Amino acid sequence: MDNQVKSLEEQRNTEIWDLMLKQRWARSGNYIENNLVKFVQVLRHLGIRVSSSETIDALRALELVNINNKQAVKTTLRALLSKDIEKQILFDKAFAIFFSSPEEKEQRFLEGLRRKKEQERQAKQIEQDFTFQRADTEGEAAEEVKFDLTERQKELYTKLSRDDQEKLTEFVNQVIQTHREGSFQRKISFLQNFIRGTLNYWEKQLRQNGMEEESQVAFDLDPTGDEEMDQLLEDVAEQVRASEQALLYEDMKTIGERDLPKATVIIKRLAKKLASRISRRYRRTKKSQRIEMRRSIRSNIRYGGTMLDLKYKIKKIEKPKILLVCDVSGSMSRYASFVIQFMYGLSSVVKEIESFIFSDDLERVTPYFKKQRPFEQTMFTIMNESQYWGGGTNLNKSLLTFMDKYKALLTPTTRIILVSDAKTTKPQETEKSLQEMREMVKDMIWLNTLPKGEWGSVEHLALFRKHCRMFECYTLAHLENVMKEHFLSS
Amino acid sequence: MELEQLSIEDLRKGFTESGYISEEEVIVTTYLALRLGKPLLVTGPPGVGKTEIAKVLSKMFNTELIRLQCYEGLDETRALYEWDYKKQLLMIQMGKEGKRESDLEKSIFSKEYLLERPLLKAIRADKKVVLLIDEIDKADEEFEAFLFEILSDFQVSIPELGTVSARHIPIVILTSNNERDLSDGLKRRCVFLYIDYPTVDKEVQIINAKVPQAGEKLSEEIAQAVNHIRSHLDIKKKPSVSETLDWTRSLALLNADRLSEEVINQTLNIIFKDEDDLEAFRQHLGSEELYKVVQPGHK
Repeated sequence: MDNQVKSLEEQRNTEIWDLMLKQRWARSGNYIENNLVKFVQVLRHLGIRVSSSETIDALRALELVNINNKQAVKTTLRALLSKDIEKQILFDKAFAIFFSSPEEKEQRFLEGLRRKKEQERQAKQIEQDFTFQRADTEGEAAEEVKFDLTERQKELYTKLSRDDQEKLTEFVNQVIQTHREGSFQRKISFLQNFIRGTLNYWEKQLRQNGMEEESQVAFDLDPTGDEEMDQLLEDVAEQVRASEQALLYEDMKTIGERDLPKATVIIKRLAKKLASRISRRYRRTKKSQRIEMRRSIRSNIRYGGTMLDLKYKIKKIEKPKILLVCDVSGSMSRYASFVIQFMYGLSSVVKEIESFIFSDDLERVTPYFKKQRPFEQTMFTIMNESQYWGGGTNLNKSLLTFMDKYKALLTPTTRIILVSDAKTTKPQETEKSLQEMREMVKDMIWLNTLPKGEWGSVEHLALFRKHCRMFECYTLAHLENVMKEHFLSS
Repeated sequence: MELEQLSIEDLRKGFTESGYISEEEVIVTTYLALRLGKPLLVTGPPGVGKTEIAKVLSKMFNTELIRLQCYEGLDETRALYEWDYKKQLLMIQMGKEGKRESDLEKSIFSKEYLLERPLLKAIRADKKVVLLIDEIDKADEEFEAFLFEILSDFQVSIPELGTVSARHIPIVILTSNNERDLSDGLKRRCVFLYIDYPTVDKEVQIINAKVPQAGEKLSEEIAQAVNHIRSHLDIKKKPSVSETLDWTRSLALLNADRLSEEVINQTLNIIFKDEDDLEAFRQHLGSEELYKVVQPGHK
């Protein structure tokens, strides 16, 4: 059935398209049409939904305005193609870049080329720096040792001064060249840890000194294969990263102290919007109404017994119960605090929120929120008082603790939200606990802060996903989307 | 004014003559909606003049403004038409003895017993009217779906009476405060316009137009103060343009020609309608600070 509808829709779309081709493109000089279609493609790649009929409307509208007036063209296209205020920024940037002058286009092209060259140069440099010649006992170069850095590590490495870079590689080299105790394999894994540790240290240092201002914005677009289009999309993404609303697309972990108030405002706004949406759903009582005879008869006595004014039984509305389980180990704590803040923004429309945080073990933090203090203060108290904030990760142990002490909280109306990057020991046992929990509740959602692209590299994720709905969630935009599209939707 | 020959200049002139001061974008977008014959969907914070557009248009085209105020639970019987059941029942009771059943049925399902609601009224109008569908985001999603069916062909079928088609396609303005996302289907059918709070300059113009008795200095300072409050305070209800005007009027009544800490304090409850917002203002900004902000040379 679905397929049938889909194919009908497809057919309709092609028909519209054909019509457009016949009507518009048959004429000579289809410069505007060509450009518009291309621009619409750009918008679609940016996640703005534009239908064929809207494209045709835009074309009609362009005939009504002076197309030499750039502002008028922009207003026109925005009025007909971009109808989502949250995505306005994407439209604005895309327009600015797509309809820029040839000089600007060339400038950007050269800039892109320069950037690419610079990246290649840096990549080469890093590869060179981390390739070592291991001499054998006679001092002859015998073996090549190479270390692969992750993208983030590479980025951090390039931010170090040449001096610090050399100190790091020099030390690695020395260890490699020594031929004494221990197996070589162990030495390598020690060095890998060492490199990771050093770079992590520098990351903290840089952030503390405010050097790490430019944060990672997770606004990546899939390449289309069309080189010109890709360049354009890359430019738009670049611009969005540099803009105010970028916070929405930024990896929550990297949102700096300075931007926290702004992030708080965004979270409040998103939560408020979602809350009004949910409350609407739960307030609606019109469906499956039953007539309440007693009240109806009483109220219709004045009409001589003719039932003009019917009274209905009001269906009791069950608000959802939410159980939050947040990973607060190390770098996860930032995600947790955002998600918790978001969920408490919904408190007006949910029956109750139970919150737990875990790292090495699990702790119930609900009581902290009952003291009616501002959210920021509460979070601050938890961070200071909880022994688990920022610890290591042991999901299995945490879940066991939960099942041991708090099993009673799991009811058929409870919805569990788990926030974690799923990096844990003993995955098999963890899976069992998850399964047990899932069977006792209405829904279980896992917000995974690991980008979806990396899920494949964590073997036991597939195990966990059997028992919950797992979503990629490391930006505020992800969070909003998951909550809007998937949470409470069933 | 005739819609078919309407130019952007005509519209701009019409807006200005009605005292509606707006950005160029508002004019161009409204123009496009009118010329394309599509509904105009206006969104933005409360009190920026969304509803006003419909009023101005009805004045410009010298035609009736039919308004449908949306709310939760609004349905066809309130928006489109309903049979006047009470009248029908009375008729049945009165005519029990005399009439034949089929005649009775025919007579009580005639136009006399039809309660016309705004949508049907707009469709059956003799003249092109302006149909304002206000705060569509407050209506339920089902109603939205029903609405965009009507908006696409402007005809309704009433089982007992047959199909009613619009003689003149009305000018349709929809407004939304963005409390929830509207469906893609509805958005696709509309020309979209977002109106934000006015810039300081625009707001000065608005004040001058609506409260001419306020002095030049006062208007400027008020516009600046309101702008500052909107952009710097995290409050539930930001002051709208109408509140700016109310504030100006009361300051003019107090014979103030400039803002001062004292008059700000006296009139705070005109700008802040919410107790918490007032508290937030006192805590995070304060009259003294606000007074400083509007002084020349302040950044």
